[in-house]
Amino acid sequence: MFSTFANPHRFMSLTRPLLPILTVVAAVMLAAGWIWAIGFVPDEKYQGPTVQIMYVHVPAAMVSLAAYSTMAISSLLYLILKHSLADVAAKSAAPIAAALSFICLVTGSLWGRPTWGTYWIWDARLTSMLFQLFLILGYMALRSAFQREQEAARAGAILCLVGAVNLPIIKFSVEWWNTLHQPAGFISLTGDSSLTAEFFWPLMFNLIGMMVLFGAFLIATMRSEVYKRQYEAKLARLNRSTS
Amino acid sequence: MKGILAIFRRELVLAWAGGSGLFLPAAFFAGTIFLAPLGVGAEPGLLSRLAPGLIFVALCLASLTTLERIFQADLEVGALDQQRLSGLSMELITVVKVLAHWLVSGLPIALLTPVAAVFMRADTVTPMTILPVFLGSITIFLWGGVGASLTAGLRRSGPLVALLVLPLFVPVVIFGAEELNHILTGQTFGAGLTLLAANTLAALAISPFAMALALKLE
Repeated sequence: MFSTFANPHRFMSLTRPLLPILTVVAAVMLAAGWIWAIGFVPDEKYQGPTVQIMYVHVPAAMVSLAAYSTMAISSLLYLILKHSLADVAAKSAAPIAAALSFICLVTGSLWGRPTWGTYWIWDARLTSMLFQLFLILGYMALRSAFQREQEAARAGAILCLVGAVNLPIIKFSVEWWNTLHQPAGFISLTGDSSLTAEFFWPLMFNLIGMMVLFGAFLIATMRSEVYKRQYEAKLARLNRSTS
Repeated sequence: MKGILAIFRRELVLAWAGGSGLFLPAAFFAGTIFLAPLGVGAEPGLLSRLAPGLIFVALCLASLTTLERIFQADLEVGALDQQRLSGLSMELITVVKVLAHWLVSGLPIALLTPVAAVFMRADTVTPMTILPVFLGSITIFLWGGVGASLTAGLRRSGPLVALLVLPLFVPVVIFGAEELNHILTGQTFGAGLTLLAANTLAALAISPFAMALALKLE
């Protein structure tokens, strides 16, 4: 199955009609979700209107995890199958994952100010998201340090997998640390206050919209990366034939 | 076995011949620890409270000073290829190199810990103080070795290695500092030690494969 879809030409012809569809679906879902969230969701009893930050924060957090998983799975496939399209996927997902982690941290911080009274607490989720961002930035820095694409691909894939193995350990250790060190007086983040339907459905729209938007961004970035590699390969061929 | 010992001995001889570079991480560690009281104030309660965390942060930073050297020189002169031709598995070669590097750079730091704890005005300093830093430094050097192997072919890789491996040090700092805190305040061993040891074993199990894969030639 992988080899069928891994053909770059088939990938390009498949995604050409898919990209505008995904873009439109993402735009419609997100527009509907945000208008619903800002215009029609009632203020939450304790948090007031700041609860609307959730409609950006939660989708960004969840999709950034999905984006990191995309990087890890693509890296694994690249190491096993050595197919360059898997590497293109991992490389393309990285900046999107970094941006989503950053959005998650910034919105979380802005949400924390009115609800907890501080921009930053060393909560387990915030801390592990911060280290996920560092892992992704490290991945991008490592890739950009290599001249040759193949070396960058392999080093990046190994780092991404080592990070993926470590991320649960980091998350566990931070949670363990958090229960020991958490200063008293803060509202616990982990108290699972289940959302009622009026808050839940607009969140669902935003979540699916963000997921589809990630798919659209990923495909768009991958397409430009494939074009870039085709161009470079052609250039190298031309240089060889003229010299 | 003979081949492994030869590689191990070669690493130690090279480190010894390198002269002052041998003590560089330990000196860096000591310097960081001595600077801390000047920054935060010499109040005994405050210093002993900060001691476990500062010792582990200093350990992480000290390990970064020589990490990039583990594989770089051997890759450049072709020694790594020669060792690979000997028929030994790359996983074994890399882990032996890292452990030899740890022996000359990491172990001195662990041995310095009681001294650092005294300077930080800790309550109880026993030989056991060494244990968390001993285990923690092995883990840190193993993950550091992964970073070093990924950047071995690059010039001026120091800051890049730091960015790559610092997130991997998080569990060591958390469990290690917690356990060191237990020991320095005169308590018995806590759960931190078990978790720290588990981390060391996980690093020992995972990192050789990552390092070998990173260093294999095309």
